[in-house]
Amino acid sequence: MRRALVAVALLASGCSLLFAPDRDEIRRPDASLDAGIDADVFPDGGDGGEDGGDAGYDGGGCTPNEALEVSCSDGVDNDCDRNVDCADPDCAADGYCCDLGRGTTAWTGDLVTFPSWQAHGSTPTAGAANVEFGTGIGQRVHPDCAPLAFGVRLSLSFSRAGGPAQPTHFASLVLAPVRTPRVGGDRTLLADLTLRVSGDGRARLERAGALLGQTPDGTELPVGASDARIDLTPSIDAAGRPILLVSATIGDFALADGEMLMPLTGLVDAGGGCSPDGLFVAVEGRGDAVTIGSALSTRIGSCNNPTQFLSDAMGPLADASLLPPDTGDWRAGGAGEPTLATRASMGATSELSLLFDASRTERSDEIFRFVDFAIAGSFRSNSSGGWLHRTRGAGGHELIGPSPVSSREPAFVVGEGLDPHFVLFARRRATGGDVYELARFDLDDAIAASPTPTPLLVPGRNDDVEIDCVSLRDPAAIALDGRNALFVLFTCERQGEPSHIAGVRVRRDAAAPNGYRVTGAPMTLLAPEIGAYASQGVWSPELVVTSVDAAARRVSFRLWFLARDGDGEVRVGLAYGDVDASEGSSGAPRLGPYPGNPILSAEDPLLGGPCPGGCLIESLGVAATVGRPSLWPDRFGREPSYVFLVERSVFRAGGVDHQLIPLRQPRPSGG
Amino acid sequence: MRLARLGTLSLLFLLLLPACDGGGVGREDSDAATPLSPIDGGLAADGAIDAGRGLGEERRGVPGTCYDGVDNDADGQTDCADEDCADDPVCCVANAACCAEARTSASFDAPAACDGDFAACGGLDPALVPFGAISPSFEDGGLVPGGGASYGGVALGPALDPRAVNVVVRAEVEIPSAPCTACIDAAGIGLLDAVPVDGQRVGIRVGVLANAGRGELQVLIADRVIHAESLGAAGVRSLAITLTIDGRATIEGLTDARTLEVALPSALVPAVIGRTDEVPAGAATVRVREASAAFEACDVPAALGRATQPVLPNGASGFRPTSLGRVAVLDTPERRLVVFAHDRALYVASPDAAGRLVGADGAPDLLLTAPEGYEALHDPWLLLHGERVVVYFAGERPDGKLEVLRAEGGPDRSLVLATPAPVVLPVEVDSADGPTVWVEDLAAGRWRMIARVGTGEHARLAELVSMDGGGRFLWARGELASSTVRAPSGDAFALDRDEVAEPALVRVGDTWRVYYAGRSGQRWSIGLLVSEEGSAWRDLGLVLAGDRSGFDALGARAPAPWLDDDGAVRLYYVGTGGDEGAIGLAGPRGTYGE
Repeated sequence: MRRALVAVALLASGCSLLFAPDRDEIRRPDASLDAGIDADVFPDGGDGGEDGGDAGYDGGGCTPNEALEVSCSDGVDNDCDRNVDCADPDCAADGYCCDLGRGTTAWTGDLVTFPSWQAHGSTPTAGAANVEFGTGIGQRVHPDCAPLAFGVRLSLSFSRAGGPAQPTHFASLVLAPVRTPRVGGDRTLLADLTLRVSGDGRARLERAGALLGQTPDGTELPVGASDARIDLTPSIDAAGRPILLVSATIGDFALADGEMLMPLTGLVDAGGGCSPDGLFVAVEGRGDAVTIGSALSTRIGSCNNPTQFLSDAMGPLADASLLPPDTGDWRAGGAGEPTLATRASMGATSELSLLFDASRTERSDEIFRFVDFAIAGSFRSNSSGGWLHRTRGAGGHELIGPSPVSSREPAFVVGEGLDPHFVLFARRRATGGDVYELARFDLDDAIAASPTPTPLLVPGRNDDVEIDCVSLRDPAAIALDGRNALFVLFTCERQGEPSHIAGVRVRRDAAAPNGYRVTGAPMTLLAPEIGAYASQGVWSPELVVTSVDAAARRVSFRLWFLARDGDGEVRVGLAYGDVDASEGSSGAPRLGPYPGNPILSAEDPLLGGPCPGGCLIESLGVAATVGRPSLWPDRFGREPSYVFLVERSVFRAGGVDHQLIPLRQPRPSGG
Repeated sequence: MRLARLGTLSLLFLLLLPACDGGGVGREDSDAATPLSPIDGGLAADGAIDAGRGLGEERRGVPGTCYDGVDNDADGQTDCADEDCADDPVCCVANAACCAEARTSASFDAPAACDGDFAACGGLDPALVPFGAISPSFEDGGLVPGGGASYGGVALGPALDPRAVNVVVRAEVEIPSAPCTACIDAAGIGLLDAVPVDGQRVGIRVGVLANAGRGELQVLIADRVIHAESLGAAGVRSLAITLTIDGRATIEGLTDARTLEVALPSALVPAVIGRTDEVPAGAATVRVREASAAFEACDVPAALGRATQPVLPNGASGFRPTSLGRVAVLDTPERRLVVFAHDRALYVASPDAAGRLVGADGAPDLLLTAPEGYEALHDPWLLLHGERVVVYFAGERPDGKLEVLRAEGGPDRSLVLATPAPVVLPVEVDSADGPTVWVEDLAAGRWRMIARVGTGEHARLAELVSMDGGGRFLWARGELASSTVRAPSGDAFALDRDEVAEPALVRVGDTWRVYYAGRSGQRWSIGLLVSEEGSAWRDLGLVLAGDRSGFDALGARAPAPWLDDDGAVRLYYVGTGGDEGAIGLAGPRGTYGE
């Protein structure tokens, strides 16, 4: 079901929203993170390198045949942006560009222990890396479903015995939606894809029984081993719907080259016992003329998989002293809306900062009455030994708000050259009600100092620019030129509409009343149209900068957000993007939702599993760690990671529990 | 996807259209033995060339013009959206504007009810179900919803299937003159995912709340406030939510009525909802003076629920069907006959009290084995011809090709069958199966059949007619191309990309309905075509697919529909998990305890 949403996401990418996670950027080794990273470390090794040889431009004669490059394997720069196929960021979500050839990762089920695969029918004899078939049809089926939704490369070799041709003998590699063969009939596995080598030396590739390709008439595979390879790559069809393509070769023959196999929605999903979505891998055959002769390798596409989280229950965010003491019940109504920031020294994460908001009265009652929020936080470093609490005065209490006004949803600004931390938040407008504007404050290292908030953006008129929202909430921001220029993201609330995430550029201007001037029109960045999982709103953007291309003045980022579907379920989504940091630029960021969205649900086992009374993801905070973060215990979190703090409310008889649950996700090598 | 399919269909229908001056039934006067001229220089040719004149008429009685994907009369309204098609019975299928009279599900009138705790109040509509950690109560002529940490209220009757009924929830809500703005004090109406048990989060699919604590009138979609306006002055507010089968929710009682899109699950509970907490003694709260829920039943074939356990195999015997083919069902005065193909032969069973398919000794009974010259039997179809049962089916020849055969039972609906005889089909049919046959005009000996002709991905469902009482059939429209009812679509996202099979006809009201099996890859699903006169078909798309778990995880095929006494279509079908098949049962939601 989940995949059905991808099409909508792709279709919704309007002209200002390129579907363009730039994986070249993300993949780059040691990509910079968060604040304070030296951008010069990274030479411009991205798209530019692909341009030189493109003769098509020499005469200035490139005729675009696609507005965005969606044909990502045809060797043509279809949109005439000087980037061909996978070198074009537009193609980053294309299956072909998921890099089956480079840096693939092994499927954890990729153990070529055929003997442990389930045997059926005329039981094939399975040596450690070899399967021979009996006189009747038999199978060996891997007990676990192979995840295919992110692309897979299957490599194996078929061995043909010498002697007279045995056309009724065969051996096949099969991808099936089931793990047991048919009862009655020919007792084969119901296969979505079959690569079959017959005892007469012919090879056929079939899609659900229909021929996709075969070795040419008059040719046969040589006696002995023939290496075969099947690549399954996720892609989209001309109508923007998610599909799985198949390419296959055996020996010197190509059997298929990017043929449509099936809709991605047709894969077996969690409901059918498969997660992530995929199919069962099996070998099937009859007779001794053909054997599966060597190891089967199953490599998963190296599109790093953002749906895979790890518990971080041993990390510092799980420390019981994370939150300041609740002196005087200032956070009795629950704490939430965390924002995280890390800082590195000597190549390792050495500081961790948290801000959150809290209320005296139950925060989930907001639907029934006005709730006032305040902001506080915590700080931990190599030298602090534990969490220090950012509260107003040593006794503990909120840092800012709720007096004189409700202040909530803090967000550290991410990007270069921000020290001390620079924070945006939402605060209630003087007009009252639940109308919020965005404000900012600086957070220095004096833990107990009270910061001074300053307004930043308001609903309606800002200088010469109209922000058409009733209320501005949940900010996030990328520094494009230190604090001189920001790209500010926020949740735009309008009457009668599901919320959406919008963005606007601001630049420091001493003459402006707020110290910043809006320098471009606001733009819609993520809207409910990205998919059914978001049909009732997207909000709460959370940013991490993944790289800064100093030469090209582009800042790449990951953007996590919350999305609500028609059932009221709230899940986490992810988008990739980059934004032009050049002075004077007014362009929109390139931004594309991740095709595997949504990536986290409230009842995920890592969040505590099912909630009998119901539960909701309310918010999350994200930051990136580098090197060997010394804040984590030795055995945990040594690799570069994204660390998350997920706010979940759990409903039970008599009340609501507000949880802050730490998760971790290894960052892809170089991403 | 939808558009692409409509495009293909419109072409198909243009080919199928008869002369428009003759109307849909003109062909009844012609000799079916003579190839019919499908187009007398009419719609297809004219329309394609002379676009300025449109494509002719778009109205009821001109077969297919109301569902061919084309604005035939160029009035800017296409197909069923054209008011000329408003009374077309085919357009009335799955149409929110063509539903039965409203029936009240549950209601209460507080002034007539007693004072105090809801549960202690006698004489209330027994369909009302209170919920909430603090139960609702009647106070001063109104219902106070109670609640606790979450909503309280009263369910207005049982869950309804909003895919199949239009729902209207109404309430008169009294706003006090001095509301407690420091309190939690809200009441209104909503459609809930389920009646909540204590402490459960209440899933409000759509709701409207008079919220005194915030001084707002709020519209909630998917548990979230997406619109709020001032609650306004004290007094009684009439609130209403109308949710139609197309997922449009209209909220009345606001300054301006709003219509919003809502995702439709298979069950929603109309309810009075609200929360009352921290209200000082004696303070006036928002009260619901009266409320009601009503529904209009609509004809929505895809709104199906299904039994979680198959009806065959079952606990009544150890019988396990293999190589299940099509299932056929026929109601006779004595019993419901269910015939299916298994192990190369045809078997017969009937439902027992628990719905399980059983034969005389528990296991289904053998009905017919392959006669000489045939290897196996498949795809049975049953009909009553006078007092005799007629069985059509497919016989598999040694070369694998299929032929349609028929066998007639004895008098008084006896199932002792005469020797089967092949049915004569047009000479170019090299293989045919899945016959669905009905008697169109008994006196004239005119029978009709839709069968699958051809094999595999080249096979298509075609319409044939017989003028000799059902033994010899000809193309209904002279040739296969124009007699085709459905062919594989080629669209990977359609239910029938690769194959169509197993058509099964049922008469519902003024319409003919053909349920059929479509295959995309290895997934079989059941689709539906609807027609008024049995030749131009409206594609209603998917009605039943694999359930992703259980016995029918991977696919559903072999539909055997029948019209039950309550006027609803129910289906036997073959569900498969990919390794073996089982016969399942589907019908209106809630019918089978799902």
